[in-house]
Amino acid sequence: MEDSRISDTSKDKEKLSSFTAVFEEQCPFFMSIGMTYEEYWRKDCWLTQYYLKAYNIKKEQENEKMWLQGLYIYEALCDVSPIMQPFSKKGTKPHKYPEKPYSLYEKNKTQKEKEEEIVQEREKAYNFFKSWANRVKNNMEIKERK
Amino acid sequence: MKKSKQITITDTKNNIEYTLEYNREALAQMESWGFNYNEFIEKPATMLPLAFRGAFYKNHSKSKIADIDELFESIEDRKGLIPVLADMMNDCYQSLINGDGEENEKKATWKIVE
Repeated sequence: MEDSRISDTSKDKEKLSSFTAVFEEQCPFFMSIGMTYEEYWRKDCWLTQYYLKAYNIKKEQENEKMWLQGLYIYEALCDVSPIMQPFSKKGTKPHKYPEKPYSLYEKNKTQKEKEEEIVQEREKAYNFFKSWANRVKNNMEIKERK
Repeated sequence: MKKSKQITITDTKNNIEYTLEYNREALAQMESWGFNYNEFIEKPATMLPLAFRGAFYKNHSKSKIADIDELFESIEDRKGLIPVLADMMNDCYQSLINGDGEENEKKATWKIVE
């Protein structure tokens, strides 16, 4: 999302009629990202840049958190999907939800954990395609009966 | 660490060194005195003394206006101050824009010796 607060174009500089108006307009934004009134008006002008950089870092972190949450929701839906199929066989069970959170750092995983992960992924893919194939087969049978 | 530009002026008569710098409050104060950035280049005779006074506001707010004006009158090359002060004022505006500004490693210095 582009920052539309102030753009550094010559057109905007021509329009600059008052420093005070611009500063007063921007003050609430900088206070909302943690800068105090005193810092904004009375301290070094370039302090705002550090607050802006910190704000951008926080936005990135928040974005990563939401992405990770989406991943867990996706995981949950995939694990539950076998029993959500309309023509799933009796006794079908959902996949087990992971016992531990995803490791954010690859190097923390042991070789065994990596191999287990690969096996789990293969199993998921197999079940997904198997249930898809069954669905297609059932649909064709229904059409033939008609 | 990025910092606002400063200039130092030595009042040799009273043996005082002043550090001139702007903050946003100083610019707002200057505008309340009648300063207009757009007229700074066109009307230096009117605007420059105000800009010079405003530069004392941050670090020397208790200095008397008469002393500041006297110091201003004693400067030989006053026109040379215009681009320097304009650049210093621009810092307060530029610092609001998101993005990498220029690294401020150079400080403009201005020394008066009488």
